Amino acid sequence: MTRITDSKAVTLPVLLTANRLTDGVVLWMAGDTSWTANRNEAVAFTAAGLTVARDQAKADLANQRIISLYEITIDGTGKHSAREQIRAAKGPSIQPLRDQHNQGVSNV
Amino acid sequence: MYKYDNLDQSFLQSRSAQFRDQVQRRLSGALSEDEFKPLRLQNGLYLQLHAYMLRVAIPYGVLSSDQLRGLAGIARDFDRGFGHFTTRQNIQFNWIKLVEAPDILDRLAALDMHAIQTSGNCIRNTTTDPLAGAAHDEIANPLGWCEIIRQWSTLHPEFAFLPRKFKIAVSAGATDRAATGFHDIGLRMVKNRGGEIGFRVLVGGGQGRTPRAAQVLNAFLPTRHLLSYLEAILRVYNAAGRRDNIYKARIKILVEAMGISAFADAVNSEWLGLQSNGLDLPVAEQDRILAHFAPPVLKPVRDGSAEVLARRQADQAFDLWAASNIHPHWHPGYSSASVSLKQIGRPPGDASASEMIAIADLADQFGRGELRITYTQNIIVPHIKLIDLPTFYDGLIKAGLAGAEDALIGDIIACPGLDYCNLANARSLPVADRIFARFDDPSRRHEIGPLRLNISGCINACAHHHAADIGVLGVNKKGVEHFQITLGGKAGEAAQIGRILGPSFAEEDVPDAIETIINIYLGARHEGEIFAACLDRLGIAPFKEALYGTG
Amino acid sequence: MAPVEDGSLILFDLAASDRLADGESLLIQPDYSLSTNDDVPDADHIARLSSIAIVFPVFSDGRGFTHARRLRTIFGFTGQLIADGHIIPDQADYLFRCGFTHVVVTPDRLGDWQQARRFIRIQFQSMPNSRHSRLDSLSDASSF
Repeated sequence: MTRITDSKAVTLPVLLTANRLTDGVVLWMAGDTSWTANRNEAVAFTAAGLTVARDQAKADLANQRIISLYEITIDGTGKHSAREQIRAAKGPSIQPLRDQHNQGVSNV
Repeated sequence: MYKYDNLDQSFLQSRSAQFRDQVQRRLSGALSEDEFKPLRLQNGLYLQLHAYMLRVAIPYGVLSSDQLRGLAGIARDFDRGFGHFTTRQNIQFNWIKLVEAPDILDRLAALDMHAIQTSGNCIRNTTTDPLAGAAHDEIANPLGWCEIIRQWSTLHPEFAFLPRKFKIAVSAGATDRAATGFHDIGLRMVKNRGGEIGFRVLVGGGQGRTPRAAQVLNAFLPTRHLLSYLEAILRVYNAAGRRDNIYKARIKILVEAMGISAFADAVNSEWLGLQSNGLDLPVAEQDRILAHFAPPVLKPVRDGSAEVLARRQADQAFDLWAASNIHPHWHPGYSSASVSLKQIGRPPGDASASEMIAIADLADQFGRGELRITYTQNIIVPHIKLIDLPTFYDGLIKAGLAGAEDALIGDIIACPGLDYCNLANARSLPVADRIFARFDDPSRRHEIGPLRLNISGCINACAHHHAADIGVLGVNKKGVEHFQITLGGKAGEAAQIGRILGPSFAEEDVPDAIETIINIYLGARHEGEIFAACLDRLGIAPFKEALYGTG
Repeated sequence: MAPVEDGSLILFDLAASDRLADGESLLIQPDYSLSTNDDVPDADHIARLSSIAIVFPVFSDGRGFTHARRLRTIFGFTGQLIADGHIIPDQADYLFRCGFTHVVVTPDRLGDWQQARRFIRIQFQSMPNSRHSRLDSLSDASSF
């Protein structure tokens, strides 16, 4: 007996993420479809909410707020790729060099 | 060094004003991101993982101490107090805001610097031997020709929208220290039988997904025809290079598809039409530019070898440094010295603003106020008197810059990798640090001898891992960072692409794998045989076996 | 090339950095139109043409610039060279120096086109229409 598959695809939740046009800072879409630089405020959207979120994101692309928009699918394993972990940490995984003095530079 | 005159400076100011206008139009929506992107790329501005990155041009790797101090100021005022020197002799700042970029370009213009065409599908920074003009084995000084190429390629109207990026390198030494075999166009200065100087023109080299060693296009091109000939090559490429697939769009793909013979025919046929178009520089202008690169008048100085030797005998650390970081000069009383930007805890090629200032000051005090950025992400100070080398070294120690030795295993070339770069699959910086930690003893590094180890975070191969004795390539294996090892790449005369040894390693296993390779070498080498020669002799089989066991 | 007289497109004169009057626009119609993807016609055909349009499917397709330069310098074409399709004002200087005489532009971008060539007043290469370079007085390639 053949099984009748459910014609409605189950949408996995997605985070929407982008960079702010003016300074390149990494942003995530929050629950109210505004953009936040705080990863903890990112919300995973599904179904109807996702449609609204995507529409808002498209508008923000067109309105010079964001660039480089994409979606991160949450597959339930709780793991994020190394890339997303580094983006969320807002910096490299290594300790960057520290400048020794913070004085003005002569000759400039 | 090339000295900017009013015309050059006006040009930079106008370019900067143009970019300010373009940013305004982007922010207002008059330009879409698709339209703005090539414009910002051609002013060096990339979007990376955390922010915009600005790649500032250091034409053919030469800069003045004032310019280096100026870059330190930019690092402090617009970034996080450090910069990264690249394999194309440029500098990158990682934390740039788009809205501040026009101010940075203005600041650069005041230093006679810019970020023109350091990115985008255009002709990029022409690179060369960092010892150019100070080397002991040059046929001629390539720097003047690099400047001629730079001016010709700057805002060239026909070649601003190529199928893909275009990289030219020039070399004039007895050994090729500019990796010309791995560039889109490589120019080797040679002498013909009549003693006339010209260029051996190579074409179609590159790294990336499909690494290729360049092929000889023209065995001898008289220098006076350089620009018309370059036009011919670029025109053939612009017209016929693929535009349907960015991974197949470089000139190396076109040369391979056509075959070098047919490609040469196409270039020659184009060149016939171009020669009479006044493209070649008039002699007066050529000489004007070359005159900036006449050999420096070096003060007579007594031979300092005795002092250097005495210090080497008394001070083991200096001895190890001197063995690899001092380069012979055409003047017997002088030398060039490497300042290594490779150290444990330092991302390879990174320097803080205070370090840049310290190095600039050392170049003023001991050199001629001039510095060179190397393909290996270090800095060279040319024209140092031998007798001054011990004090110069003391200055480096004081600034915390003695670092790893040039061209030994600690002198790792690494791209920024996944810590910074949007394209990367894996992080290169932690792996570099792990390897460095494993080989942290300078005596051991010297015992191993000359060895090029390069780490790329992805197949774009910005760290030239294909051209390394030991290449490390970051890959994504089911979401986890892994590292593939290649052996036997060569960047010099006989450019050669490294071969993959086998399956990739987890990050924590990489130092063991490298050490295994080194131990095979140390066990098998003949007296005085460097790693590359030993590998040529043995082939990769014993290394493969040691790493993976018998198949 | 879409008809310029329908009001939605403007013919822009690169040398003057301004639009042509509508009446003048109507006088400039290409005898021949090619895309960046096409080869240029043969020399005999070109000799009979007084205006050619080169259509850019996308502004980043730089083949149009090579077409223009080949037409001017190898085929000796002296007529009008019109850039059409997707082009942005920031390319004005490149178009002009490669030998284009006109561009088909949209009214909303006319202002940007009018301003586009005001920035870079110095050029390095020895080629026609390089406004000011050290090579000016040294080069005799001053016209098409």
